[in-house]
Amino acid sequence: MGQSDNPFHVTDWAALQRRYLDALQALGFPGNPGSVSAASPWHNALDYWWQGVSASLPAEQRSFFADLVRQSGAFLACAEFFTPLTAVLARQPAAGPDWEREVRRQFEALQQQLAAGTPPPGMESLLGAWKLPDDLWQRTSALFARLPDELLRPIPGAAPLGGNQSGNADALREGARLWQEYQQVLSEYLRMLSTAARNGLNRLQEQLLGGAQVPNLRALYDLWVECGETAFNEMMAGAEFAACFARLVNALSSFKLHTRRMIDAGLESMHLPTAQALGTMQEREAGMRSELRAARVRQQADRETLLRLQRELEALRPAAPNTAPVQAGETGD
Amino acid sequence: MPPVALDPESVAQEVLAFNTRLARGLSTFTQLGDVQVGVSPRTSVHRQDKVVLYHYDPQVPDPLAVPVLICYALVNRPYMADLQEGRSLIQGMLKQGLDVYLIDWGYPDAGDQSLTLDDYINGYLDRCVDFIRAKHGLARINLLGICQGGTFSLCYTALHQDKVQNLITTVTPVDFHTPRDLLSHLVRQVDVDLMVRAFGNTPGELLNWIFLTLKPFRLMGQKYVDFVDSMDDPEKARNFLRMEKWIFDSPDQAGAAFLQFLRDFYQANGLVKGTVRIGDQPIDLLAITVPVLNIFARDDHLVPPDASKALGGCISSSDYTELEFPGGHIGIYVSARAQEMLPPAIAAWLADRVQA
Repeated sequence: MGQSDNPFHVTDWAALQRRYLDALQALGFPGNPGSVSAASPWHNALDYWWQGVSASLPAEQRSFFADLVRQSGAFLACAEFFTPLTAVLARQPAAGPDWEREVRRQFEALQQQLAAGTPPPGMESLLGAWKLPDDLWQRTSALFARLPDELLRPIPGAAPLGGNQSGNADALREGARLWQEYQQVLSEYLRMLSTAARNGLNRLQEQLLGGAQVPNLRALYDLWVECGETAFNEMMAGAEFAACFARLVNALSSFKLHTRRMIDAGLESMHLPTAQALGTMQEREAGMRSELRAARVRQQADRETLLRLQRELEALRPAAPNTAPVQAGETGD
Repeated sequence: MPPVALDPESVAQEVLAFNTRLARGLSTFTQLGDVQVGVSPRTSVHRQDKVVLYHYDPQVPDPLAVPVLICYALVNRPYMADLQEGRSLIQGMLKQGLDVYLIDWGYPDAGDQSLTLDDYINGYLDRCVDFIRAKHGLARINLLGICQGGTFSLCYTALHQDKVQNLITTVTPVDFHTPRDLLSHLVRQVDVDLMVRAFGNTPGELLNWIFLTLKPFRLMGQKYVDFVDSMDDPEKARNFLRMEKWIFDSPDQAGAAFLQFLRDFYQANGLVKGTVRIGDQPIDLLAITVPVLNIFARDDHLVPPDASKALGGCISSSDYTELEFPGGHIGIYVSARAQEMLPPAIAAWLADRVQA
């Protein structure tokens, strides 16, 4: 298939980018301190393009490519963030006072926005890397945690409020409390990620002002990744993060266990097998497996004993001449 | 050249080039179809529950008389050892004249949540070993463990040394409390008992999340940006997608076995302390006297070299060899360098020790 008849190859892509580039260049000139928080033309163009082509992709490929586009957006946002600095570089080489002042100004603005939890438009995808653990956690926990509104919804067919209304109300209150607890730990966890993000930015700033070799945009992106990874690793190796991580998993587990018990209560009211009952059966089955295995070992040992005894018996038999068939009238001894 | 050599024009050109590659790559991507994994011909020779034992077709007329059984981890899928043509540990071993078997543990479901390490090691693994011994008329076979499967192989050998002639461990955690072990550090305070009571089986996605969290920028960000550079090459794109398929193909972990592995190995470091029990038997690594080849990866971020190298001081074998691979936890199986290095080293080490 040639490019011209390829529906995914947007031929006016370059022109589209050029138009955005013109707008972007203007943002980087001195006297425009708001450049960090300005719109993100490249990133937006990518989004626009993705919205146009994603529907044509088979469903099984769309999710993978969406991730790919998201990370590509981070690369483009990296370009957008540094374009004002390149304008400074065009006037004066790196290591000059303008350059240093501009680097500090850019990073300070971004740090402030990060601290306030309001990254500039278009920067989300670049900071998406910082938020990855959060994204993944949310995606993962969504697989097995019931949300509060689901928790509070009566189980269809069951009679959760029948019979023991005060007990059910207590259970719901406890569920809400556990969910709150999880949310609190999650906030703490996110604060730590945000701190790591800011530490990564500090490292990057130090590297740039320290004379790190950056021959092109890609090298700059790679340097950002390296700084971020180092900052994240330092945080992860500390006791505080490990403790927070454990609290997060434990809080989610507590909530999940509570919902499981509530669902069991509903199932029990309908005389259906509960997870706890199935667990009991599985434990019994595990016991039987263990007994069977022990029996198999004993059987094997018995078989080996039998073989050994047979061999000993063979060895005890009289030598060949004496094993001739006994003639009639002869005695055996 | 100045340290930062960026100008607006060059940045714009780089962005344009990147976007063009991405757009072209999308076109390539849609034409790839399904990616296939597993390259070496094999036959299923034994099944028990969800566990399948595969025998790979030997590729030489007269393979080594004592076969090798590969014991894979419960985490992720074993086709990583036979990913594709030219990137397959198993293919390399077959070409080196080895007779290879592999255990596939399958995908545990809710009905398997009570499976314990005793079930896996003294049950399934032992049955597979017995099957191969009977088929080949051998008292002992060679055992090769991968990652957690290496830990299982160590436990198995400590308990059933009469059935193991030589043991090979690859990127195998032994000391779970070495200073650089971030994974262990991260899970040390998790209430595993509560977690397993809450979830039953541990979701594979959760494990994946933990593994990716160890290097989020590289594994979830930079890797994809790098991929854009090569995605218009169908073969490179397929290679990348094969690895993606493997990374996210994460079976759930049977609850009871996961609980025991995390609690007794990761949290209590019981393998080196001698406090692990499989079923009702204690695991004493000092009981291991068979020849051991311990292969570890220099840049392994999941099982740091020190965690593997601890094995040397824990066993009684007088024939202990270490081999360092210059790469990471996965590269040791799929990189080009691994194909050149590992199969010949394993085959030569075994050939020197196999007593038919």
